[in-house]
Amino acid sequence: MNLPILNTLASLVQDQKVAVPSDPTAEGTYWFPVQASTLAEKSDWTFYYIYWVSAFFTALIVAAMVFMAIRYRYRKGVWEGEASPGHSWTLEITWSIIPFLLTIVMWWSGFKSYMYSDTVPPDAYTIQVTAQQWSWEFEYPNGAKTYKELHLPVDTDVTFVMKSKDVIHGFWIPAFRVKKDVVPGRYTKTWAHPTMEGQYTLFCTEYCGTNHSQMMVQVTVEDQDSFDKWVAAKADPSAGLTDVEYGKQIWSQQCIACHSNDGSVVIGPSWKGTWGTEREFEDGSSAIMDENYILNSIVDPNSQLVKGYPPAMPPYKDLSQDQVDGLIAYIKSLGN
Amino acid sequence: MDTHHNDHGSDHGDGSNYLNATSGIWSWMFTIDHKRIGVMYTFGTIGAMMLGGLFALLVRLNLWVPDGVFDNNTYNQFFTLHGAVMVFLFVIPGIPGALGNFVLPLMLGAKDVAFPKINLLSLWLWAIGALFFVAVLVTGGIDTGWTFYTPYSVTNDSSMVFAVLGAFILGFSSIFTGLNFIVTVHRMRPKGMGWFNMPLFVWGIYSTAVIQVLATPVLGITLLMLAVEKMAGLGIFDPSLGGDAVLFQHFFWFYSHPAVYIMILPAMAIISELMATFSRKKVFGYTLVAYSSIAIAAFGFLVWGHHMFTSGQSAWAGLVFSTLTFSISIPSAIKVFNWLSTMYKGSVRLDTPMWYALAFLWMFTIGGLTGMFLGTMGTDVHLHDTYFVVSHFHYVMVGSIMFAFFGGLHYWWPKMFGKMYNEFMGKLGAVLIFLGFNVTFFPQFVMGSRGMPRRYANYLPEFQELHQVSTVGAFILGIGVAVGVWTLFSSIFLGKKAPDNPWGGTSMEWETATPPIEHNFHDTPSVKPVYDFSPLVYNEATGNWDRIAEESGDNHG
Repeated sequence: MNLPILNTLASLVQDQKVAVPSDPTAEGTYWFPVQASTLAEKSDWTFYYIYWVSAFFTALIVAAMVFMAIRYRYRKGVWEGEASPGHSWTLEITWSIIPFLLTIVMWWSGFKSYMYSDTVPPDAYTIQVTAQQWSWEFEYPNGAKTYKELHLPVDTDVTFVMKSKDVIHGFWIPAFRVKKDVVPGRYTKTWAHPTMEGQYTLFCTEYCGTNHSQMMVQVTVEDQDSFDKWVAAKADPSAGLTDVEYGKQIWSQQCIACHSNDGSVVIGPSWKGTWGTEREFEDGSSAIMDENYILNSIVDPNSQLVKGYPPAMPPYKDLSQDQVDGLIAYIKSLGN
Repeated sequence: MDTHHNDHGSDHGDGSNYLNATSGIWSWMFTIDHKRIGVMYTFGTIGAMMLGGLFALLVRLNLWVPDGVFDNNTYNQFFTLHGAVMVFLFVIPGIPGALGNFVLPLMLGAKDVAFPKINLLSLWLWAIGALFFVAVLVTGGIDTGWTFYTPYSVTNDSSMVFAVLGAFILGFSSIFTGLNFIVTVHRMRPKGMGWFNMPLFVWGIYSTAVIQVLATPVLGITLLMLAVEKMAGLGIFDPSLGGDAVLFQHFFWFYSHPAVYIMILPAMAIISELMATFSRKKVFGYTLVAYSSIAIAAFGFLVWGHHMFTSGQSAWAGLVFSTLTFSISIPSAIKVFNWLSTMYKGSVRLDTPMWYALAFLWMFTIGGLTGMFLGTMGTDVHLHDTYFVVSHFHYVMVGSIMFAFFGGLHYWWPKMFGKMYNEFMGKLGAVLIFLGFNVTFFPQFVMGSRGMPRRYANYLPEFQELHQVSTVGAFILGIGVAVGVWTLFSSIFLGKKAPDNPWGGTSMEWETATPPIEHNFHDTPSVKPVYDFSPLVYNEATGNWDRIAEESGDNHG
């Protein structure tokens, strides 16, 4: 929604960006991992406020219950309770107003920290995130793409523009307290300002099928210089690699979730010993595995569905020529 | 002295009652007696609870080690079936079907519900829905989670259709029960029982019924849309067909949030009865507790978006939903404080049903308060889809609702079957359930905030210790449930004969024979002020609470 009044209201609830020095000695607490982003402090404050209010009232209620169960315990001959008021407006109002006032703080501070995490800074360093069953792809502004790892520069705003290729996934970095669903058919956005160098974990957090619990990615936060070097190197992932090595790298990032290289069946056919063999398809036709077969399998996988396997593979239309060449070389190297 | 006839004679004097008046399987399958229907629901929903519990133990077993015991797909089916069986076959139909059916007409001095044949239809629909879920199990299972989110549930190729149709049919069972109870409460109260002279159990069942009738059709339509999309390829929720993936969540939660109030309000209804009877005192703040039931039912329709704060829903919609969510916390808190105050200057008897009621107060406090973390937008961002949520809703569904169900079962079981269960075993079951439950679920709050996502077949090794504690707790809970169920079931054959009013309850079901005769009462008991304990006196010799009649001069002392 873009009504001016809402923007004004939004600016009332956004805090100033806070620079927090990196503190490698910080540890998590009983309830939380480390506070590795500017959001974490705000989110945790609200949590602890609710926590202490809750702990207080739970203790109060349980103590009252135990006290009264003992103090007013049944005694033979006492067939009913003592005469006492069955109702008290004073009590009802008191025990409605006090909780109400306490919850206002929760509600408001929660809204503030939500708006903070939901208001994506314009012009921040933007990473394109694509989720699919069951892996991630991160694309950096310089064109670099990574799959099993995510690197971020410390003390910088980073925006994530996200979409899914298939079903709803969830993007969660607990150390940052950042979470947003990743949806097919539209973009969702979130952002973070990492404050501590270190290694964290990104989880998929919206159930997405068989390997939902195996989409974890290591998140590395490092100083700007190291990050710049790393991302520059990643822009040309084939640098220094032979075709076969490059193909193997792509396989290990994007294909391994479903295709093994050792003969075992994961979801789709194993690649071992398949080059040059005759592939039988669901519709009764067949073809020899050659370069064109592999290309077709990548961009239109269900048009030649190998018999006995589910039509589970999405098309990969964005692979470059070099990447396809690499995959072909790698499959060849796995025997025929 | 014939202590059975302490109020105008409410048995036949020949030992015949609703259980043995007619015999044979057809007399049960085609009964229109609300009591028999209630008994069948009792056994059916307890059976569903045990099946759902079996899946739970398999889930927890898998989580003993980080790499899982079963393969991922099998695990995913276990947690889906656990949720679906528990929600649709046990928690939603359980208390209204089992105890609502049995007790409500008796409490109103009536001979049956308003529409006895529709009541039978509700039961059959429940049974047919259950058969559909058996079909799901037999045809390969489902793995979408009980929430069936799209697009995964549209593109997923399995026995979804059976599950969707099963839930659809069960929805009608629920709608018809709700309709029946609304009309019963409006039209079948005895003369002199105004709205504010009804037991609070009736208020709770009535509020539930209103939600059942208004909310369940939305689920029905949503499931139909899901089925149509899958079978006809019509793009509603699947973006690849032109649909909107998140739209399903709005439709689904528009029912499923009110559904959780369908689950909790009957439980609260039971707690009101238990707190009154076992404190020997009228529930404190009766009028506000009654109004709170209605308020919770009404507001429950307005908060569904609190399940969707991270879905891409607008922040402003989120603010509205968060605000309304907090509005429900106030009537809930009012109830807890009023129940507690009922014990003040009461005469508190700690029989098994009261152990469950007091445990409810504690567990519901935790369940309700942890809901605040989730209704608060900022904290929900971190906690959504983690074990924190799993723990929150189990504190309400098991720690509150299941505990209340067991309390109610132990309370009304003597009336239903005419036998007293073994009190020591009853308490043993309660202790094991309480311990097992807390050991299972309290660690899950910590796991969630530390970074453990839900619906995970495998997990990072750092969570193994807490997972193992939780798994041990689950098995203790399972044993406790088995002890509790055994205690009740075995009493039917092994228990001592129960008197008409073993607990000294004031509502009309305690003024009829134990078990009741087929048509409940020979003459409708006179309407007395609600929760008036003064005429009830405990008779050591018989174990019965005798009612000393007042103006009628019919004084057996």
